[in-house]
Amino acid sequence: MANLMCKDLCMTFVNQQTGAKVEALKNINFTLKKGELLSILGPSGCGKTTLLNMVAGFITPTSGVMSLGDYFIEGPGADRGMVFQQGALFEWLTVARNVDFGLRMQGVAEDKSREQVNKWLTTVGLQGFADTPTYQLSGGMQQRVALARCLVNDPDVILMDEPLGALDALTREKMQSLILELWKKTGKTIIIITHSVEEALLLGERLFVMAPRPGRIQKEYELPFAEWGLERSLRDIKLESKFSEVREEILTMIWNMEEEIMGGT
Amino acid sequence: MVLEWLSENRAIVAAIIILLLASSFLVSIIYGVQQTRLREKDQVFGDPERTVGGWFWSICGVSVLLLIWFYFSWGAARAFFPQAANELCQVGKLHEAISPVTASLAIQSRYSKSKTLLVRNSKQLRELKARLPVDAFLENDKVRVLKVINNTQKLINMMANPDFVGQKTIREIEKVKSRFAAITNELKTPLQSWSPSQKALQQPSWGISEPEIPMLPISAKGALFDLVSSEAKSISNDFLGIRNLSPIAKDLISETKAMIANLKKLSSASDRDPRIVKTRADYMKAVDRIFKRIDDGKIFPASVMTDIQGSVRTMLQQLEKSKGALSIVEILFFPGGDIIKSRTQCTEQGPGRWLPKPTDVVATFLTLANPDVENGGGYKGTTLLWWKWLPISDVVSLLVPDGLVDLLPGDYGTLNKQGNFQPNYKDWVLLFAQGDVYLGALPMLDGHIWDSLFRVLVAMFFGVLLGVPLGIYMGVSRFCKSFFDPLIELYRPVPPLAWAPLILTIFGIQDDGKIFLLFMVAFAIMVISARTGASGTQLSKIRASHSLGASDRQILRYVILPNALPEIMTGIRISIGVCWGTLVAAEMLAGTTGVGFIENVARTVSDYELIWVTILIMGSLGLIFDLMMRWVIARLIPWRGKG
Repeated sequence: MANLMCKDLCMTFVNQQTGAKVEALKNINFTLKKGELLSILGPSGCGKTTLLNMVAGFITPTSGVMSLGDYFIEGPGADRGMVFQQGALFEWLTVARNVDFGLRMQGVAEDKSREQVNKWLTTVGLQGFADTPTYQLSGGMQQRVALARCLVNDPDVILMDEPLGALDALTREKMQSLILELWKKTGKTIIIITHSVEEALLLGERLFVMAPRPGRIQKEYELPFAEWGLERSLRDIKLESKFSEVREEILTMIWNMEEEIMGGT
Repeated sequence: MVLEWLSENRAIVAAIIILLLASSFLVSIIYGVQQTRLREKDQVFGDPERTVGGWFWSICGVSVLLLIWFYFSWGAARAFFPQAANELCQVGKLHEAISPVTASLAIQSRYSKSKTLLVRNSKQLRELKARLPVDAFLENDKVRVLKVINNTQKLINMMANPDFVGQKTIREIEKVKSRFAAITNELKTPLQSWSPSQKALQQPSWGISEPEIPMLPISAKGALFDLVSSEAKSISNDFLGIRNLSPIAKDLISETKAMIANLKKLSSASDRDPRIVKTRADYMKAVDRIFKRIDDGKIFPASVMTDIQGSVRTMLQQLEKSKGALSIVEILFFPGGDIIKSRTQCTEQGPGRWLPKPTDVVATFLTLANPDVENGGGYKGTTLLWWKWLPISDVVSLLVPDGLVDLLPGDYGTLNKQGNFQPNYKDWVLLFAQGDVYLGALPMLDGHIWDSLFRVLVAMFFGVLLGVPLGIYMGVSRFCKSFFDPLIELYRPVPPLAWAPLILTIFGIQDDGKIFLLFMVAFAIMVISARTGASGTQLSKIRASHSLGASDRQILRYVILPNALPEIMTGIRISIGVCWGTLVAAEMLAGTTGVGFIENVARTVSDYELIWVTILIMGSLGLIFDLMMRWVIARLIPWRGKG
């Protein structure tokens, strides 16, 4: 089983000019089993994105180790797919060429990759858009392409950095369902960073609430809503009393953190 | 032939074109105003949609531009009033004839020549007196020098005094005055019926031959002006002969002349210090120069000259009256200049000269564009833009260096015993490399424009080939950026023309020097634009491609390069423009072909038509380049600005 393990992760940024040290992350420990859906929530500056970038291999932790299955994480790799807030699509390529980018780079034959591309485009609901240039797509569709591009590579872990942050409310709800659907269908381990408490609750089997200064995991939740979301409409779930209870609790926690920062400065 | 007919009848052609332009101007204004009224209702001020379309205003603008060109180049005058130019030429003859008189009187200038002479020479005499070299002269010589100076001053004052003017001079002046009055009367008489001579009718019309404006009068009015101008010429000659030398003045002159001769002799005979001898000689030369200027007798009392001045003024006023409608035509259709008669021909001065008529420019362009070089087409033995057979062997000799053959195994041939040359296989290869073996020919573009284009294209090719990779590496590598940055940033701001003398000295005035100069320009621009494009790649795109399993090299090729493409294409567009500008200037410095070369030769012979033709060629080619690049960019990079 390809479990994701993080042990004693610390990240300290040093300002090049002043030499001042900022502890972005301190002693992060967690294990994510294969197929788990984790959402991470926290006020800005709590190190969510730093943590994700470390798992992706874009930055190296000051201390601590991460491993995926039997391997240590020592740099970016195709086993950890990433979806960014703004899609980060290659606008000079068509949808299909964007999606098969990873396969092309690994030298997979054209006909084999075409099959894969069509399969995933259908899964994310973009059949018939294969030859459309990406710059002609709407924000939601671009995010779908980004998802397909990530999935076609068959990664062990999918990392999403506020993937739905730039979308309007309706599109966002549809995309939330899509992500749950994909999670169920593929059984991938997924980590989602988000600003929205509701989204974190809906898209998290597990939920970390992080706190700043130093960046740390403040509280961890195990939630049933993601499982519910596979069968029920997301709007129904939001009306459940349990949902609003947890939401209020987390909101108060984050509110207090923000107050503390404001008071501290 | 059609072209010849067009050339012979330029005036008529121009008249038709002008009328067409004027009507298209009016029609487009009416149509434009109509359209604007229609649209004003659904488009508020500032709506960008308001600028869409509007080709009718473009027609209006172009018509206005061409009409202004016709007007200020006197093209309209040539089309509608060719006779006026001939008449103005006759007026010019009269002005040329009386120019010696007007030059000495206060007619065209503020002061009379007498006043100027008097004031200037008196001032110089005063200064000379003040810097008399005391050590160089003995006491009594000094007294004599001062006497000479005083005498000269006295002479000046005497000439300016009306009491001392001799009777002969007064008689001569009276005569000049009455002859000018006679011309005035002649100008007053009404025009008689008059028919031009056969010779006058056969003159080539305005603009066809080298003396631009026909000289012989072709109208009664012109004939009158021509007649009085020859009379005026003889008066002027008489006037120039008048001297203001009374008997007293003559005595004073001969006395002073003798003294000067004496003093000059003194200088050379003396055996003293050569430096003093020289000082003395220089001083006496200065005194003598002023004296000689005065003993011409060209200074007259003001009262004596007022009469002549008055009669010349009256004559000129009468001339303006006699011109009648001609002066209105002159003001309206010959803006900004005059027709001037000088020595042997009547020429246009002002915009008529340096702004050639549109029809002449077209005619010059057609001659230039004619590929038949043997029969006067092209320029300096090269066509403007045509084709020729290019021997393949020439290309081979250019591409294969002879030195490469030396590296082949074996020896070159030698002479055998029979005294013949025994060629080896290497000699044959050498012949091939030197381009002496005929290999067939390819059709190839040729001509001045192609030569210019070729230089730009080759320089651009190498600029892009070398500049883009370097720029992209500078965009991704700290070492590469910092290492090459000082080099490129130092040479880039230097204007290319500042490099030109150096580059042309090193590489010679053939194509390679110019191409290298242009390459330098293109290279710097390409490096900078490729670097900007490469370093501007979004971090998330780079990270995404890392996560998708791409290697560094693949990221460079498939992400950074396409991402930099818009900047690279913009760089190409800019550098083609700059190269084109630099090339023309470089061709002006040296070379025997190219558009800049044509302009340079045209400049040295003041061929304004040709200068304008080259300017228009450069402008249109630059415009075509830019439009092409814009089209290519729109096709190649549809995502530009949408990422």
